[in-house]
Amino acid sequence: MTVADRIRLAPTPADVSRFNAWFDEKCIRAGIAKPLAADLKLCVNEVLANAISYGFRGIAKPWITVRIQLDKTRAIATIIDNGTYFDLRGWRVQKDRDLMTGEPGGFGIALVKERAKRLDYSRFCKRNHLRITCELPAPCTAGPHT
Amino acid sequence: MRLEQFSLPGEVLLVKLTGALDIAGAGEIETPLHTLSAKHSKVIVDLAGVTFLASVGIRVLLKAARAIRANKGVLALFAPTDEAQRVLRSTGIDTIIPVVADQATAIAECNK
Repeated sequence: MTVADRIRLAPTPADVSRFNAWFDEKCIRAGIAKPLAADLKLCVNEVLANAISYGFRGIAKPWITVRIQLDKTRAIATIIDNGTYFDLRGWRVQKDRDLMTGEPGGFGIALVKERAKRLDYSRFCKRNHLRITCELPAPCTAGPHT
Repeated sequence: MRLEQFSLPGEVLLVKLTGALDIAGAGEIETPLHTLSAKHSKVIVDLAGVTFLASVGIRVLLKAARAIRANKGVLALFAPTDEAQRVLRSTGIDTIIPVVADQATAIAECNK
């Protein structure tokens, strides 16, 4: 069963929680696998948290819309917002940094890049459009080594 | 997000977290956890009740671990769900904060 829906959010922590409750219910209805639901939920949370923290400085009437499309093996979220330009695909997380003493940033984007199968970004009409695609790994069909 | 604290023998503080450690949950526990971290040198955090862990939650845990280590103490995490464990591993946090299976092992980490 494919479930498609959308939700309009304010860029606030409370609305991230509201998204999570809404998303959990949609995943149950779609019957998608827990790991797939967990991957997309984490990705969307990281993008929303980043937008709340940095994306709406000087924006008078900020808003975010999240569209989802959930299938058995593929889950897609499209996040549209009227915040400042930000294409997370170009963000590079510093490797070999000292986690105990360094600035603890970049975890969220690194998680998105790890969990998403595909990231598509565009900006038009002063809006960010980020499409996140997560997929279940294909079942292994290789036979045993001989 | 609920934070409960229990004093254990050996001056170990048990912190039990329950709920989603998303941006809202992290905001709720950041100040109380930071306050606890400044006062205790042996802290174990029960993650069994954490239903969701995002990077903002990782940052709160990392800040607490830093504060405790600054006082030559140890913060140890235990009993994360499989998904939380995956996030801890992906971010590399499990390389600098002990993440173990159960309370007894977490206490042992604090007493090393």
